[in-house]
Amino acid sequence: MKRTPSYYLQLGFTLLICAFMLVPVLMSVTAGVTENYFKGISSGLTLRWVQEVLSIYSDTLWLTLKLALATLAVNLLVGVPAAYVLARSKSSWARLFEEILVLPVAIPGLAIALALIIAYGGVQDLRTSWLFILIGHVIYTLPFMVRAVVAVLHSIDFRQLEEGASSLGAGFLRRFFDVIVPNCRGGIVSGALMTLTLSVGEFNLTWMLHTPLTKTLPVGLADAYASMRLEISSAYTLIFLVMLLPLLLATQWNGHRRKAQARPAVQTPAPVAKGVT
Amino acid sequence: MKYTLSGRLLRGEQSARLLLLLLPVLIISAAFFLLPLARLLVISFEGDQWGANYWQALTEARYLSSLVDTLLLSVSVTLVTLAISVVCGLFLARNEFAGKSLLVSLLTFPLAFPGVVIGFLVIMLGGRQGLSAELGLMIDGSRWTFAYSIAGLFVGYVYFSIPRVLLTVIAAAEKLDYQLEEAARSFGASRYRIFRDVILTGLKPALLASGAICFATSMGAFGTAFALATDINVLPMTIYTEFTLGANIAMAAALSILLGLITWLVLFLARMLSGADASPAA
Amino acid sequence: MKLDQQGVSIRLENCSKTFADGNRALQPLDLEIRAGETLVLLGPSGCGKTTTLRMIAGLEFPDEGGRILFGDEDVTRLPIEKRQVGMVFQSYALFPNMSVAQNVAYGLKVQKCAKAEIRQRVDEMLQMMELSHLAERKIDQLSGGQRQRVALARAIITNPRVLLLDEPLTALDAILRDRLRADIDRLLRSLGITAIYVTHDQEEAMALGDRIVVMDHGRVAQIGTPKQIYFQPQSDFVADFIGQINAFEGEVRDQWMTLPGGRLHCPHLADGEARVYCRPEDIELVDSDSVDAHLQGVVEQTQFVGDRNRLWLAGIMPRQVLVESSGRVEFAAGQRVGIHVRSEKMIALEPRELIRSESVREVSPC
Repeated sequence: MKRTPSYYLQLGFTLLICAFMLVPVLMSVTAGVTENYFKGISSGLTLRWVQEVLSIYSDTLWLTLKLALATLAVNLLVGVPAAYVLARSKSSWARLFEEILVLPVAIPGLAIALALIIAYGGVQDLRTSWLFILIGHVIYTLPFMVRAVVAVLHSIDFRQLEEGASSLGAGFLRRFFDVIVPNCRGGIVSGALMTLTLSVGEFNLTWMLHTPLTKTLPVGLADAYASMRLEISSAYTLIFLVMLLPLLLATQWNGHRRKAQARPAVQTPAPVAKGVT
Repeated sequence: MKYTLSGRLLRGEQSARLLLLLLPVLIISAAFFLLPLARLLVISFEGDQWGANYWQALTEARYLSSLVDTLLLSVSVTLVTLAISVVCGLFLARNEFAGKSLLVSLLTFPLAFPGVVIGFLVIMLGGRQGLSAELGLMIDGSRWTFAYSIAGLFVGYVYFSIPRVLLTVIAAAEKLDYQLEEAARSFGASRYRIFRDVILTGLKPALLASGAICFATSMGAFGTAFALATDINVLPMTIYTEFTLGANIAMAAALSILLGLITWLVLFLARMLSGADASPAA
Repeated sequence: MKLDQQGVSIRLENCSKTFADGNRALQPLDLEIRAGETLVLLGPSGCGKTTTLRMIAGLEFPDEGGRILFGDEDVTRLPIEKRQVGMVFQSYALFPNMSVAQNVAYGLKVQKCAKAEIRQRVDEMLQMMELSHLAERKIDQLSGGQRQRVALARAIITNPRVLLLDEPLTALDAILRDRLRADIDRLLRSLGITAIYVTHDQEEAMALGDRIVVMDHGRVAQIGTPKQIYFQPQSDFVADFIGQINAFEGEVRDQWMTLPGGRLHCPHLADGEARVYCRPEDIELVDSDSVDAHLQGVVEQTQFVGDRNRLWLAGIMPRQVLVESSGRVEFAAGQRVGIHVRSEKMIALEPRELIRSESVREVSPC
């Protein structure tokens, strides 16, 4: 393949953008394990800041994990069946409800949080509980779960699969767990990863909904950025990135896997570079 | 005649089962989304006069400037992100080279970073101890900082938006029909014309959809502005201030409704225009 | 493999189907299917054949007043999972999350058969369908023909009371279709199971059916053996839908019908306006100056298809007439030929059917 000057120009630009994405992350990670960032790496590497963060903020870690898993559980339990119903129903009521269900995606989290506080902020037991944040996270992430599953259901002929199963004598529950759930596993996994990732990093809603006793990791981060020294903020960010990393890797892996699956058995010739643009 | 009702009974049984499966989501959605939203709407109209809060929001300088600033910022972030993503996305979709998938991964892994963290990353780049400050010290002895100005927000929002827009553009570019381009070439169309008439036209639905998402998230983003702790009054910060410091809940509600209407409308229009699904799904 | 499947007879009484949108897909239908026979439901799309099949399956339910009986048992209100039917779907509906063996075993698993029994019966079935080497494959690794065999195996392993096949060959290419048609025929005969087969392909219908039900616009147009349907169609629609056919219409006087290209001897017709049909292969070509050449035409187009020539003749009727002749005789466009139609090969319909002349298909090369 001939590499034109335009090719190298584009490659250069892409690498530059990549550097823009990567450099600040690397700087932050370095700062988190550097003795004194002001002096630079020459001051030595240390895990002191990480330990300090763990001693100050460990409860935010646990709460974040707890919230993410609880949000996931709710989404799986109510979201997957709802997606099935929505994919199956042709009524205009179902379409309307689908629109309402995905509405939280189109409205800034801040507005949703404000609405929740106005409606339920007076209920003290709920307001001070972590469940209040859970409600916010579920409202915000449920659309992603439902849509991921609905998308997969629309891409397979699940009605006919279900008819096939029922022709073999399978009742509703059997069909649901033997045929529907396994065949939209890809969508469920995507939705689950999205739920976890969004919940772990959620700030817009959580900042409004949290109380001093219910601080999540992103809330703690904002706290640290405002009041702690740079090394602690960096170390805290580093811990957050480490928490996020498995989710990011899993998301990428899942994306590749589904792409490979979606490819037809007979491969169409891959479009080769034409050097256009 | 029992059997004559059979069809209807079975269908009724089926609908009941479907409704039962949907019921939990119905309850959650009604109790924790629709009802609060309705309350928000009601409160936004409380005050001396009906609709006074909205009138105030659209006429009083500090609210209006906050709204206009946020709109301008979001529009410019959207345009710049789209431009960057089209160049990188087309390049990545059309060329095969060693390390390409790594490059794509590196460009898109910040997808999951929340706004607060991105705010901190901007401080790393343009803060008082940041990269540009070091650079400035080396070159003219003064610390160059941009993190705490509107430029910092701009950089942060672009950083936030690149991964998701880029992914959409790559996916759309991979689906472009090469035969269209070859047909255009057979007519002797220039590279520029092919780019404009064939490639950009082909990408248009994806650009509209991802551009709308980029705009909507920029309008509503709160974390980055919060982490940068500046006196830049983007609309979400104004709402937050009204609510916490001003304790002006009605005003905060009215501004929230305005903000929600704008983002919803833009996403809705994009969906109508592109026919594609415009939602911030990663 | 034990071939102990003894199918049941099936009776539909007064079964009509109106969908929620008010569209009546099926007019009230009475139909009797004998135990062990293969009945083909044939018709163009939208004729109600699939709706009928789905009602027998239990995937749709008849309107009020309809009754479906399997043997003596009223199954009208049983959903499909309780009817013990086997079904092969148009796109097979094989479960992509299971292997070939798991797909075939699924029905037995649902019936809670013992593990050892399931294994044995699945092995036997896979062997019978020549699928043993594919047992562990996933569905997306199979060819169309293999999928089709898996779908059949899965449907018959549970010894269903009736086997329902919904256009099972439509998704395949022509060569494979021919081969699998023969396979299915052999299988159905050896099982002796009651089978209902839906198709829009008349060749398939004639090859497989003990009896054929030709359907049109939600009604039964004709029920009969393949030969009855082909040689004694009872309506314009059936005559035209099954195979290719020529229509001759004109004024009959003293046993002769007058046509633009000459006369046609119709000893069985009374005087007046009439129409008769004739299959292309039943028309004899004769020299244009022969005494038998009652009708004369000009070859407008020829098509050599190996075993025979297809000729389109002009000048006999306003529309072209299609004739088939031996492939060894040469014909050239523009050549004048005579044709002769024996009266016993003509198909005449009851007068009441003659009103619907619009449904006659254009016979033309394509």
